[in-house]
Amino acid sequence: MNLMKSLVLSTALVAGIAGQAMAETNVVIAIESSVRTLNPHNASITLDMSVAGAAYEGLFKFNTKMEIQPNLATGYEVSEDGKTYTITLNKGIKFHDGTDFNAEAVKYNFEHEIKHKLRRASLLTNVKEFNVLADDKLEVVLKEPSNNFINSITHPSQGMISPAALEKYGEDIQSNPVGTGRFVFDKWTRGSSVAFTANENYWRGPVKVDGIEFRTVAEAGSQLAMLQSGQAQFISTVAPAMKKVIDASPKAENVRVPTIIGRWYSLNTQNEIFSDVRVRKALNYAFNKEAFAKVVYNGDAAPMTSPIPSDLETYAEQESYKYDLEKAKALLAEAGYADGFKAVLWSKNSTLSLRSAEFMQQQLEALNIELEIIPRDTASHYAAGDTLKDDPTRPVIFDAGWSSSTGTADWALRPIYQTGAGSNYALYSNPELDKLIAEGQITLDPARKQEVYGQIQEIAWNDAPVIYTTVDYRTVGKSKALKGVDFLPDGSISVGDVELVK
Amino acid sequence: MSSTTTSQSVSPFELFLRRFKREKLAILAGSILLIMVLMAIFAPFFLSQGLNDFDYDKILMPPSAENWVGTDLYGRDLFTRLVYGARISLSVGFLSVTFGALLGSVLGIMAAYKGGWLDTIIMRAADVLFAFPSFLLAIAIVAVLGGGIVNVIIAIAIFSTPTFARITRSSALAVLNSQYVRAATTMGASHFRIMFVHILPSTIGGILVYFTMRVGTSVLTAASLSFLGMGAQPPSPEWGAMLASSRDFIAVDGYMYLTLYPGLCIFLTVLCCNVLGDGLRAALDPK
Repeated sequence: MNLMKSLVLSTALVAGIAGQAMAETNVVIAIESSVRTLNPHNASITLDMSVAGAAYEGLFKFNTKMEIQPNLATGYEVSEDGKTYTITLNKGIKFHDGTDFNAEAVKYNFEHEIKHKLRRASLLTNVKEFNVLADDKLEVVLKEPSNNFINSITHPSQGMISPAALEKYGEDIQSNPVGTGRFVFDKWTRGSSVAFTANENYWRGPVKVDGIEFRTVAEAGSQLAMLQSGQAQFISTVAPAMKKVIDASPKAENVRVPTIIGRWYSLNTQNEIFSDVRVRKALNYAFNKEAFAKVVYNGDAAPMTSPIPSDLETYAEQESYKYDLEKAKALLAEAGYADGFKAVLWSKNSTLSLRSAEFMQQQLEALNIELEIIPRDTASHYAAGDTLKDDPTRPVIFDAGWSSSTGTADWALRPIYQTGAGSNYALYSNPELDKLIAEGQITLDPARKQEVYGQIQEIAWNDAPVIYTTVDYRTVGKSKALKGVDFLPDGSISVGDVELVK
Repeated sequence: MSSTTTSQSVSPFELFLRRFKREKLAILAGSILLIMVLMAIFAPFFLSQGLNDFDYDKILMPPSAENWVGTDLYGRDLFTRLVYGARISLSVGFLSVTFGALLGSVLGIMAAYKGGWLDTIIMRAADVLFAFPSFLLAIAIVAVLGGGIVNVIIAIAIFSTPTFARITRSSALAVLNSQYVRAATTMGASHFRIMFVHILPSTIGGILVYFTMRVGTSVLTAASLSFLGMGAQPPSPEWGAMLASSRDFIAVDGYMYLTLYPGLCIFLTVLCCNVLGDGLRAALDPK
């Protein structure tokens, strides 16, 4: 009997140790929000694309300085008139389902995106046609000359999906990713985690870990605990106060990244109160950006000085909305709201978002504006944002932000300020601005381009459809043993040649 | 005139008081609770700062002579917030259990007195509620009703009800066949009068003991719900919400005061309620 017992025990022990040894080459990345979709072509959140990015690769990719690097493509040529691009592809690459990656597949991907009006097809609006010249050569003909086409297709949403899988799954491709990347999709537990295993036939050579898992952990303290205990090797949020804890840890380190993530609170301009530009300006003046940076980001953030972050092309500094409560009160009185009003603030439920929502609530209290905070997890937050237009008159202040993941000014402005654009949570519409945005996209002359984007920034800034807050520095935490996972300035997590060094 | 009384007749209440005086620990616990309640009620008269007065030049200051337990992330005085938080936490605890006790004891007496199918329905319904772990039930109720402090009160009231019903029923059954109840019935007293004038007083003891302990538990439950983001919302100083808003500092050296004091307040309240409840039980039921 005793012998039996010890036998069972030792077997369990051995199994336990073996299990642990196997688990050691699994990399866990803690992210602050839950995943909405694994189809990058239809994703609205940078993080969704990052997660899908474990399985998908684009033709080109950005390095940590947002410079374009070859990826599935080896290079490209542009015609004199800037309207025809010839892209050369790597040969011999296969999708996870064994089908071939070639020019035909690329054409299928882009055309599928456009045909089904997927969210990120807005990056391809300027394309006239795709022509397959050879198995490894694709010609793209544009409607108008473009200064940012390669940037557009380098955007993290433009991963290449297996055409066979697209046909097989239809819309369900969003929960069954099939790409060419280092990792093969394994399991998506909604609201909780997405797991991938190593791609044994990866075209660049063997993958150095057994798998990778993205786990949703909204709360920064829990992320830290996971990093410290080795349950996670990379955490996406390090709240300012936690930095010294990580600094003191022998196994983990902070990585501080200057970002091109602009943050703001969209004001629903279809609402009666917020339709008045004086009200919108008043809110901007009543918001103390310096104190905000100090309280929420421990000083590691800079006030926005234009609708686009200062590290982006064509950035033009605007006259700042310097904190001035008297001016704000005067503007509000002029608009007829001297006694304030009630509004709701829709916020994400991550630690920093909640903190900044509470800060906003305090600031606007000085104008007798009573804010009710409605926190939601990130996925539901943006889903709720999409419903704003269905009932457009609600006094909603919407926690938002944007990073131009193509590295261009166009992509920093068009999705936010163009009438009816996907991330225009202010439901803002200005025909003059729409015209300039259209012109900006096709202007090849650098001086004119600067001029057009300068005007766009000025108009958007003065119309103030949002309360501009800050451009932040992001600090992420990672295990010192982890290599190959990078946090890019646009807020995406780039999964490269992942490795756990001993 | 001859004095026939060799021993003075003592009312049950006097007897209780005499016994309770011996429960020193319970008296201490009761006094602490009383002080907390008084501080919460008279907060504006002795606190120099308002609840939401922020000062961005004084964020995250450790405890000092000026700020007894430090300041929070927005430069608000934590002591002020703890005192105001007591208003919310204590009244949530008290109100929710009061509702639960009222509903529960009425149902319990009715079940005992009427018996039959009514008894079966009430007690089986209570069994259904007992089948759920109480905190899980509270979460489920809040999930259905939506978050917010009022719904937390409702949730706690609902899951407190069956216990009160059961306690009241059992003590009511014990006196149902006693002479004075039968006498009342014979004299033609109405059902209502029998239930609430003759039976109810004899069940008060058990209810009171359980009530006191339950207040502590429900303060804890409300704080837990707020900690999970389902109860009080920022900028409410409810203790659980205060803990939640500083939880990313828990692991960081030097910021312990942010979570220590709200935690201590919750701990102290629950402990005092339990000690007081124990003392009451000892005084009411000396067996």
